[in-house]
Amino acid sequence: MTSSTWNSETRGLLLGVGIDVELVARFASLVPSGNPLPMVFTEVEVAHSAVQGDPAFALCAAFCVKEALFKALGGPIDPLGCQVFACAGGQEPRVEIGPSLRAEIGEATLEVRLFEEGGEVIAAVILRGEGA
Amino acid sequence: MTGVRRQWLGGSDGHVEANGVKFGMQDIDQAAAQQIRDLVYDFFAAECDVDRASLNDSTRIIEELEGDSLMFLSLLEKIRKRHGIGIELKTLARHLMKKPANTIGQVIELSLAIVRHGDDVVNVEL
Repeated sequence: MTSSTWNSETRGLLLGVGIDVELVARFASLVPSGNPLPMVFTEVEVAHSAVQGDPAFALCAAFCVKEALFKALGGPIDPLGCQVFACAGGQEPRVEIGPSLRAEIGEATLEVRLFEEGGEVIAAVILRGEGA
Repeated sequence: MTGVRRQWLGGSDGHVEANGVKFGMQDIDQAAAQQIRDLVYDFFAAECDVDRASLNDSTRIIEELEGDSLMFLSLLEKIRKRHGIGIELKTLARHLMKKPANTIGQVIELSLAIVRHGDDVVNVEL
């Protein structure tokens, strides 16, 4: 793996950091006729992935971001409490936080980055709050 | 849903309500428990590309099989579909933080508890 550099653009008290890595190929078998993991992906996320050039990437990225968010928060979340829309090619994902998850993270801000490297997706989530 | 007898105690939605909390429960007979056991063994053998005969209840999923959360969620989805159970991942994660399932035997035990208790698994002592 080559190195990836990310300079965080947000300021504020660091509340948590989460990183997750997954192989895109593992999600190829999940590329659905329906929702492969209804406890993890919303129907809207699955529909989004289905129209991407690389649907496995979109599912993989959504999974990674949710895992990284779980790690950043340091406790269980409802993965359906946020929706992640990603596409291959280096664009940043769009992350929508639903009311239940927003209630848990309060006013904290999320910074989400995706890296693609050697068939893997790496998601990093930084959670920041007031202060500093 | 062969071998699984729904033993709901009341309520048109199949739940009992007590003190404002809904509970649901499935009674599992021996054959159904064995089906779940077989499902778990077959799943790990196929996913990890190992001979089923090389697995036992003490096999450590992360250390020996390189298992991970995606693998566990895929297994859970198979069980969920087969037994028609509804469980929130957050509830299950909370349970796993208290009582991790590190071995195949522990995953079987957890799977049986999920089928029996659904979301109420968080209150079950395994």
